[in-house]
Amino acid sequence: MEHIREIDMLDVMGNTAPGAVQERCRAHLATCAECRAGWDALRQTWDDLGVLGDNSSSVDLLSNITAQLSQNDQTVRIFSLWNLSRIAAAILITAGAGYAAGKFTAPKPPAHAASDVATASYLQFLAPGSSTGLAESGVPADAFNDNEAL
Amino acid sequence: MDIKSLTDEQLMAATAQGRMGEFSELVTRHQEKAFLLALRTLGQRELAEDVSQEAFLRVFHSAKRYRPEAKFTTWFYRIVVNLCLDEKRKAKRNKLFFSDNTKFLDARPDLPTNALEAEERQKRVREALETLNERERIAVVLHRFEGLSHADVAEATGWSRSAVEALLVRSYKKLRKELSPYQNFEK
Repeated sequence: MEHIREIDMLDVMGNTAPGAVQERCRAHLATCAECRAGWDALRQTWDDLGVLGDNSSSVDLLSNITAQLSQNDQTVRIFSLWNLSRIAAAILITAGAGYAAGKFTAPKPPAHAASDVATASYLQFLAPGSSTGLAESGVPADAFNDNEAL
Repeated sequence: MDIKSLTDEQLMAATAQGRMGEFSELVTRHQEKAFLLALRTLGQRELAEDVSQEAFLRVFHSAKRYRPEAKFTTWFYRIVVNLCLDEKRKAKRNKLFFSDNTKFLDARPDLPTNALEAEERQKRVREALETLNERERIAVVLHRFEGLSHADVAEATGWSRSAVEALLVRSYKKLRKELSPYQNFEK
């Protein structure tokens, strides 16, 4: 004869066991003294716990919850508006700063830009510091016009 | 359609669309169960109120993710249980012991004439429950007071069915041991 498991007895007590288990349990308890003793002990504990079972609470969570939800909603709205303003302000500031930086720190042409071109064209005698000293003398370029010299 | 005739799952679908009326009905239906589950698990009224309130806020915010394949109450109990476990962990970290300041139920004005005896019995049962560890207590609270089968307890907590079976059998044995001296005395 297969005995009833305690966990099944507990579910039967709570009326949560499937119908077949309930029937099998009750039929078995009617014939098995050992299981009956186990059942009675469990039943006593079950009933003892019942003294805490019938306490109704006067709790009303609804008003608190709806208040909190509407508060969160407002916070989210304010937060998104605030965020949008911050993003717009950041874009404006960045653009303004970029414009100002560009205006006041535009690169000036180097002093010897023309000489750099000369160096690049292998006309070293025109470069600053060359032995000819032409770059420093301020001699106009057309002074070296071969045709005119001739 | 009357809101009251809707199932929990239908109310959840409406809540997912941001309909507050349906969500309010859900809160009204389950607030007492949530509160009592938290109260019996945590032992403190204020904490239990905070936990059940937070549980409903989570329900509202995660309504879109809820799938009706899971029974609403099972899904909801899991949220409450997890929040209770979080609170227990926090309390452990803060070295607060619930048993030191546990007040399961506030004194009520409508106590019967044998109020003292009833109070005494409640006190003994509370003390017996306090001898259980938190997992054992949650399993017993869900099984004995929330009317869940051991399979439903497993689903609500996310623990395996065999673990819940072992927990419940062990817990009721412990409770029997704690309460048996008084049982004989009362008889």
